[in-house]
Amino acid sequence: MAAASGLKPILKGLSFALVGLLIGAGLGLLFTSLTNRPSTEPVIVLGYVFALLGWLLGVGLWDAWGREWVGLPVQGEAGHDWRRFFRFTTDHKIIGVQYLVTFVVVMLLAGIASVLMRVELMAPGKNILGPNEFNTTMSLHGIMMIAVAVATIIGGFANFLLPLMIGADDVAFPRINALSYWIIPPVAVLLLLTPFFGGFDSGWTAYPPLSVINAHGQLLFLLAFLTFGVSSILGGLNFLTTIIKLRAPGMTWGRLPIFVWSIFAAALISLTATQFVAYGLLMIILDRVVGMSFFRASEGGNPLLYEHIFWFYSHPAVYIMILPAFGIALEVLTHFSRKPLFAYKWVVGAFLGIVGLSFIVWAHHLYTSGMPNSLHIPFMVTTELISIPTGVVFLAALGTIWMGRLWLTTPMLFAIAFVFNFLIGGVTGIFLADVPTDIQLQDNYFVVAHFHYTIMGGEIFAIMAGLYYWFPKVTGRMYHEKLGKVHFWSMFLTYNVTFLAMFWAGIQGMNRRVADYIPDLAGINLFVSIASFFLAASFLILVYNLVRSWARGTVASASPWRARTLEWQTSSPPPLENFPHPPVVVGHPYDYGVPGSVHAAPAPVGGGSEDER
Amino acid sequence: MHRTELPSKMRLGFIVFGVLIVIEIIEYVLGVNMKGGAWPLLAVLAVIGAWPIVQYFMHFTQLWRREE
Amino acid sequence: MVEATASHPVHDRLSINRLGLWLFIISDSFLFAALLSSRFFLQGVHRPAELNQPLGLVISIILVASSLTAYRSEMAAAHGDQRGFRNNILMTIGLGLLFIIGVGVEWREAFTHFPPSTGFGTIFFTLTGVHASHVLSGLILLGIVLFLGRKGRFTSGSYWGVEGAVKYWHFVDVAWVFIYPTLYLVS
Ligand SMILES: [Cu+2]
Repeated sequence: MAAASGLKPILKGLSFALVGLLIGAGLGLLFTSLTNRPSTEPVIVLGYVFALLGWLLGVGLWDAWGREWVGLPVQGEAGHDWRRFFRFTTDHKIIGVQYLVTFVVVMLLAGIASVLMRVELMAPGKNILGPNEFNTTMSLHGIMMIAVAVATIIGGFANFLLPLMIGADDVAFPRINALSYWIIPPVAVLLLLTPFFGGFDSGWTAYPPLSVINAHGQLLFLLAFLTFGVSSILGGLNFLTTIIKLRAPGMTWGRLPIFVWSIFAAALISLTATQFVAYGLLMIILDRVVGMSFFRASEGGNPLLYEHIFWFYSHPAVYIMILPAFGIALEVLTHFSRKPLFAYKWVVGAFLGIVGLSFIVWAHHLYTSGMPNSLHIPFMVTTELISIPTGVVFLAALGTIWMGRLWLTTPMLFAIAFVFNFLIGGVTGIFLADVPTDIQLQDNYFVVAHFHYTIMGGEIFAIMAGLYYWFPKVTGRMYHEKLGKVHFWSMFLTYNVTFLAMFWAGIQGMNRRVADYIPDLAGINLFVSIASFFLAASFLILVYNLVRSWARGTVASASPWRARTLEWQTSSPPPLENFPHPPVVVGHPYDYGVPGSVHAAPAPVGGGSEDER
Repeated sequence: MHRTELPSKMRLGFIVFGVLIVIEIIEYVLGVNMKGGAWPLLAVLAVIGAWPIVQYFMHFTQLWRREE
Repeated sequence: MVEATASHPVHDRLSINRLGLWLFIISDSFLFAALLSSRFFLQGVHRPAELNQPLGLVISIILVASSLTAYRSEMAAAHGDQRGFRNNILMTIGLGLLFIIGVGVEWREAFTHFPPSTGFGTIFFTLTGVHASHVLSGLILLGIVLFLGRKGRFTSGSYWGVEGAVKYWHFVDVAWVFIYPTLYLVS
């Protein structure tokens, strides 16, 4: 009974979604009965759009918001037990936990997909998956991990921690925040349904003409990605407004924690560039569903348009993923080195420089696509320019550790590993930015290994650092330190063995996105597969540690790391209003070891101890 | 805000509207009569047309300037 | 967009809402930038002879006029002139509907000369279609504002709902200022 009442908003959302689905499908049939076009895809599109609206209204949008627009008072109850996690709740801390749990689960699902792929690739020929099943598995792995990479830090960590770090009581638009979370479950449902609609063999990049002519599963993927884009845009809008408008007194731009700056930079990209991928996906949908000719060459269409539009988003998207990872890593490195963050202002400048440059490099993904050769050199130059700000961040990380009194906890180990892995990812990126080497290496496992070094070795390691670092703040309990270290060493070693070997496989000619390969490559593939199984197994330690510690870990103090940033100056977990007494910021957050330095005074009574601006 | 401001604000609205109509008609004449080569001029005119809407109708500068 | 919770008593809710709406507008401009760039990428400056240029001019003027009435309604609301506010919103909605009808007439002609499956038709229907969907959502917002205005929800000191909907409406007009020459005039 308790479970049923707790899940009431979700059941209501599902039933509204069903009604929406029927209305939309009916409209779709009506629409196609007037034309002579096949009805399946219009029915899917309209059915989904109405089901999505129904879901959102039912799950809480109507009660929390819609009623206001027709002149009725809004309704909503927070609740205190587990049920609040299954509601359209506007508390940023609950939304943060919703995001974190959701995306850790998605990450594990996508990890299972990668294990299936490695089983198939253990030996040449067919093992467990046919070519289409393999490509669907690969595509699902890709898009789910992209979603994890885009949303775990911004949606999860930033939601929970950013308002705390700037001393605010919530984000600027709490209801938009809830909306951008509750729009995500339909994305997951669509993606998990794709195998029942013929799968989609296009990869997460969905290049036409293939993506215009393949199975209906592709359409489900397109709708899912589009919906996810909406969530990402709303998230970016919310965080930009929050950072600009809701900083505590004294929290000047020069005193913002570096994690907040990294979210600011990433939010700039997700606010703007995401519209391009939305349009790219819309073009494919229009070609598929109403028979337009964006990509039909016989009618003047051009598939290259998609690649330009897609990468105009998807290259900057790499920085939506990696900038917040820089933020987490620098945050952790600073606190556990007990030293001021090295070259703070340069890092901020580098973040903004990366944002600017990220918009003018997209065509390095099109070196071999048939775009004009005259564009090769300009895009090669801009791409390589990015290594300057990235190098600044890297040097700042080293400068922060340098001569520090390192406290080698699990998060610190992950942050150091982030620096190491990202160096490999960055150096191998140069070979792919250079046109001559890229033409040799494109579409093989060298590319796969490279971007996994930046996204997995980089961002996922940073996410791990964040999970351990903020675990006591979010749950109020400590994780098991020894298990954490076992997880770190097993993941770090197996990760590097797996992906270093992939560089070799690529140089030997192992193509990406295929289920089969020539027998010569059997040895290296078997090696990669076995290493990857150990890598996958290391995540079991993580899951065990998180679940166990959340249930019965030792109770954490307000500030187990004795870190100075504001999120540690309130209880663990923080109360609903975040700070019983609104904080006043009086100094820089990272002045460890500077005599007399204070970051924040707890209450405004009597003012801060130092200069107050 | 004073009641007496209202008529002058309404007048501003008509001025902006008039400017926009003039620009659109110039654009139209250019587009119909100039075959080829008109597009850079049209782009400039579009920007000139968008600016008064953003400035006077949407009050862009409100973002950083305090309310009058 | 219309967000007004009591959770931020100390912050200036109006300036937060304004910034949020402007960020949304900036974001949406990128969508229109993508739309316009795809027109030039696929079709260059090609324009079919059958395109109804005079009708394009007429609906452009209608939309600009609707921006004027929207501006007047916001100013009236700001000065507490409830009747002027409601009448001007009503006129804006009327002009918006007129614009939609104009686009409908366009589409009927376009279907015979360059249907959506052709190269130019793809661009034409997508640009006008995406823009018209913005007009429709703007009309819904204005309708809600009119409804709430009738209930006396807005005063000269508190009219964010009016301001937000009107700003969005102006943005839809700005987008058209760029779409109109791109579709109807370049050659
Ligand atoms: Cu790239």
